[in-house]
Amino acid sequence: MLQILFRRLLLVIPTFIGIVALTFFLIRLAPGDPILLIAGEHGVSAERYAELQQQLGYDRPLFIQFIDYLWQVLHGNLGLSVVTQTPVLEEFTSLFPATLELSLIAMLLAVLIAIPAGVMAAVKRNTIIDHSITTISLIGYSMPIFWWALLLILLFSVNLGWLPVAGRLNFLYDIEAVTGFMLIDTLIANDRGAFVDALHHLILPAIVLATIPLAVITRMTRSSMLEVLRQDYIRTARAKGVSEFSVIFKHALRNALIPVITVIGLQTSILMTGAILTETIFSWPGIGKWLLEAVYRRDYPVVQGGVLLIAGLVILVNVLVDMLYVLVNPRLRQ
Amino acid sequence: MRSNRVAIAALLLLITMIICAVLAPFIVSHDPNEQYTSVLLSPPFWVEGSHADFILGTDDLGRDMLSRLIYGARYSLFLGLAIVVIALFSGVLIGAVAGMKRGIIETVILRLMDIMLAIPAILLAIVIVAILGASLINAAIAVSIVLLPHFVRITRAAVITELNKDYVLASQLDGSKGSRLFFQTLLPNISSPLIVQSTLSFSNAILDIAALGFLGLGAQPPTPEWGTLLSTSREFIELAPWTVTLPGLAILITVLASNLLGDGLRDALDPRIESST
Repeated sequence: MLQILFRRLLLVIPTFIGIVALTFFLIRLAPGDPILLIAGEHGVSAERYAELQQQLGYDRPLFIQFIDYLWQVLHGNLGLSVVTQTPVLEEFTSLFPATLELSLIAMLLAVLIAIPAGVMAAVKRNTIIDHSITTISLIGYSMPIFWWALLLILLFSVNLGWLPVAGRLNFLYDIEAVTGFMLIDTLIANDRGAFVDALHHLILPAIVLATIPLAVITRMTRSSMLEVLRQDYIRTARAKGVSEFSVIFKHALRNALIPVITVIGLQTSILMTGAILTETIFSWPGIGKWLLEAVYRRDYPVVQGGVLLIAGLVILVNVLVDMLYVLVNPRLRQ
Repeated sequence: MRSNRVAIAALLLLITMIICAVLAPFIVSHDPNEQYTSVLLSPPFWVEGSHADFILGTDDLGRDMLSRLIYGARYSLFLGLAIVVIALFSGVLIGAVAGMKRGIIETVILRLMDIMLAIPAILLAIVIVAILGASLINAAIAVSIVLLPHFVRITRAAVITELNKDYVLASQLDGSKGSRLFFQTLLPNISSPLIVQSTLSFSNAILDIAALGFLGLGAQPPTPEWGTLLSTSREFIELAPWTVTLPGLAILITVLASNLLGDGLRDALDPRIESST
């Protein structure tokens, strides 16, 4: 088993270097001279241009520049934002908790609803319950979430006035950032009003972000459960007189969840995609909004570093999911 | 059987939409960009105060919503098709090379696809558009690049499985090799998973194009592409909710129909997976 994991980890290295290379060369294809961009609109003299070129290393061969960039990345140096002059990694780490908090709540919401719904649909196969759950999850799966977000805003914020439209917290509250998780920070500050307010701000973005994973996990749980319920050992359990509840939740669900775990892990990529749209619509101060703004401003170091960090995160989670898969699947454990 | 009927209904719906899109100039009564300044933000027919000439209402510049939606279908549907065709053809070619040549070429191709899959789809598309510049064509290129790896992987896996079968050996003994072996012998036998993947990619393509349009990175106003319609009407959500609900509904229905068709095709073409409905 250790050997499988080790080989899996080794494969990560070329993939990661590949991503560094892809982002590095993609950004070099972008129009516009990066030196002129840094020097500003007023233009530069030829001497100053050469000086900047040398200072930034643009006078060296592209391949050497790449090796240098890779070396810097491995040392945690992703360069400075052209706009704010702050290190990219620093900006990322300060905004990442907002995205993580939103993603975790959304994922929790999705899993808590999807697994019972999927089990229910499989157990009540071909009944009205099954058809309703399958139809709703297919609609959720097909949903343009940016439109879904606007619909929810229209209903809950504009018409009913129940929930806020944007941000993480009303500006009336001043909460010290300890963990970066607003729900935890407001609890640490022992400010009940702020906690409730933060929760209110979370509801709509979390629902929007949870929609696609919810649909995908429901569909997966259902089909995995149907697969397992057909197996001989389930028939044996029933023949032995094991109660139906026990057959479903103790015998079937445990095995049915194995592929579901993989699917849950694969949602990281979907969550990051969703975060870009959701954060932009709800003005959620996370990395999705940050990255999109960097694209608008042509802040290439941020785009390059941000893509790298998000891709690294996706790879990391995939490896963790693979490990978890080996741990929960007894057939792979020996 | 039920799944088959639903899939056929979805197919008919898509065909109807394509016909409407093709015949748009003969169907609509207004030019999609004509501004009727006397009927700004007129509501659709089911709301009081609607205008008989504009059954789905007008937008903030007095343009007919129905005409814009029907013209918008041209962008979403045809771009969706074009994107899938590009991704399918290049994906099948690259996948076939990987599956038939094996060795170092295969490794390089597979690693490259892994890299592309590690970057979230919309993010990769956004970066590509940021580099190429925001336009509908560039958005389409970006989305076809994003969809490519799935076709490469499916083709490669299918080619490797088929290469071990007797009929392929027979064809090889008959002197068939290279591209002839692939196109004449292998391709017809690996087409089922590719057809299913194409249908599902079609719905992804429509969603991604609309998302890029919504973010201002795809089609530019006044192009009536559905995602662009949503982003421009967003600020009128309180005043004229129909300008937001209708384009989104159009996207949802199209994507839903193509997903239903994809599910139905998978059930029909892949006997190994027992019908899931």
